[in-house]
Amino acid sequence: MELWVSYTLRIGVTLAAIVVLFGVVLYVIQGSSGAGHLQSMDDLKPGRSNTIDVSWRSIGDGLKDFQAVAIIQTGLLILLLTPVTRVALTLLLFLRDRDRIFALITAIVLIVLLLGFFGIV
Amino acid sequence: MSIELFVVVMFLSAIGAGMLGSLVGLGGGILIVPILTIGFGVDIHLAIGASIISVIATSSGAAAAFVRDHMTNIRVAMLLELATTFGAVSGAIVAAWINPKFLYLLFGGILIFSVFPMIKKLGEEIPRNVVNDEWADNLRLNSYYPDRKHGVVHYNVTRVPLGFVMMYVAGVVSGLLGIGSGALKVLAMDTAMRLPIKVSSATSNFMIGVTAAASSGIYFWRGDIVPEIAAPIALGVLAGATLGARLLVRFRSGTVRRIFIVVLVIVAVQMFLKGMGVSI
Repeated sequence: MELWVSYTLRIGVTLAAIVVLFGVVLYVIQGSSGAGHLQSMDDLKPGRSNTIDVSWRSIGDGLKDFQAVAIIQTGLLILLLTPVTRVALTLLLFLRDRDRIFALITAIVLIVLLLGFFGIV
Repeated sequence: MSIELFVVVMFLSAIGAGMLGSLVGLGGGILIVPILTIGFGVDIHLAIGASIISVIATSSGAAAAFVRDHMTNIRVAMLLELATTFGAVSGAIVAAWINPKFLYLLFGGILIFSVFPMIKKLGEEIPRNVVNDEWADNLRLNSYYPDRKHGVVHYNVTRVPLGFVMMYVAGVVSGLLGIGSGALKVLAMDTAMRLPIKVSSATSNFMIGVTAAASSGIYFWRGDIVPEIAAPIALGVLAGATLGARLLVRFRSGTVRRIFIVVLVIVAVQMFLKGMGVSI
């Protein structure tokens, strides 16, 4: 069971890296049309005027248009999901061992992580 | 500087940070924020968002080793993660309203603080006369681990409430600054809860990714994780950490540590200066 955790993490990270890499290559090819919001380094400095809107909808729309930025964001989300997966598997571990207290503790941590991942927090 | 050039330079820097970090046992995260803010003048909130990504990348990327090591105390880890995740969420939410100058100063302080475990070996290897406190007893936190020198080492856990509070603080720092807070976590487990140092280190590594993940969602949906920054950093740190692990055998750890300490101090001073409004 413990080996499953490391395999899953490895797969998750590799998948995330591949998606991000694909998005970066696409970014280079698409140029400014793939970027959408970032025109120059000034957009990264403090006091910048533009605020980037990030939502499930904006990513979904971007993916439909095969936009590089949306693909990169998807890869990053996959990466953000890897620790969450680890906690979920740990929860299964505790349930398998019928350790109720720690299953509860792990479940609470998992809920906090999922709330953050889905943007509810 | 054009965005394209920035992405390339950032990628290379991230590889360097990932390699250096894996050689000394610190995540690449501690260097990412200074590189972005001092090196490129990027808004610290965006730098922190990108750094969170690098912490998760190194943590999950290296995770395969941790699960099999028999040293990580998963029960202690999960219990304390209750504290760190709540702390991280608090820190991330509050970070948006805090004056960036304070973030710079705090970052400088944490950098200096991280130097100490590298200078002197932290804690006794096997603590003596440790008795479980009631929390450790009820939750069966005490455990054992295999040690080459001492055989199987059984250890107890004490002062759990204190450790819990310290972990909450470590979580807040992680959420505020986008770092893994490994040093703070090891400190809490080592000095407060009196776990053997090897267990503290392994358990801390296990927890770092989860703590970072807790605050990552908040930064992501707030728009503080910019793809153009986060992508090269994620890829670079992953590549660097992998390379660093291979190079680990070739470099003498003493030299690497000394270099890293110097780098940390220089960067800490620069962060302090930026926090006080001075630019170099």
